[in-house]
Amino acid sequence: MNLRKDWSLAYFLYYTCWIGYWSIGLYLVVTIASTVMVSSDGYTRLLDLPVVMEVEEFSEFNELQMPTAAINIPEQFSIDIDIKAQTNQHGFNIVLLFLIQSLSSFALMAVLFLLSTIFKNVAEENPFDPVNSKNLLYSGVVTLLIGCINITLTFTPIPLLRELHLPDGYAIKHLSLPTDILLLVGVSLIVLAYVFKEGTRIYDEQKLTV
Amino acid sequence: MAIIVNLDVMLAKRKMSLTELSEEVGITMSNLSILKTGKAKAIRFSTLEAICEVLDCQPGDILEYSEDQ
Repeated sequence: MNLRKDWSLAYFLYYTCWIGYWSIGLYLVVTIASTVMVSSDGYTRLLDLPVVMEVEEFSEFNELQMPTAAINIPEQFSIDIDIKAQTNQHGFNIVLLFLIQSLSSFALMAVLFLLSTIFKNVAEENPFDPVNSKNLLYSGVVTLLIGCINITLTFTPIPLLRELHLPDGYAIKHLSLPTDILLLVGVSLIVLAYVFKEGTRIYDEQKLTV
Repeated sequence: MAIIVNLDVMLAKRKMSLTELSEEVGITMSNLSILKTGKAKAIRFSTLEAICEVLDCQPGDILEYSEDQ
């Protein structure tokens, strides 16, 4: 069975990358627009900020016993919080947190763009284009870099999070940004880029063998 | 490249064109051009054998090693 060229897996992945790229871009634009609109009343809101919270209460009473099962709630847990703060006092910190929160999205956009060029080359039956290994390497470096930045940011004190006056027994320990998966994907992409580069070299050599 | 391809010299000695060689050896003109212009990265023994047979020469007549290049 011959599938249409436009419906090949490479084209499917190419279109998926582009849809993902524009979806993330649209999401960021909508988020920025909604933040600006909300800030017109003097307050700025930041939604779904991933943090690690600590609730002292759970250190003493952390096991919910039921007749047939038990649930253990740790003292520290990851949670997405919404922050509403006065723009004139905390505007800069809100923007800072938004940028930190969006860093992974910007990186994902860049990686999706680079991957889309690779899939397009593969779809056009040109998988050994030197651009492919370069773009794969750039994708890996961007992912690895964002992973390293996220590790640094996770343990960097953020002014606004420190200034929040939470009730006694509640504390925000630090941001909860993705790190492990980014480092793993970054290293994998870099290794794959070198494999691709070697493949391209062998292909070129084979092409110039008479 | 340290290996010089003297295919054009041998063709001139045998008064043969590249097209004729291509037809007799059975490899494409583009591949012969790659070989003649020194762009080739490798040559198969089967190709070398076929060229030597048609041109009635030794591999050393076609390929030459040069230190200074």
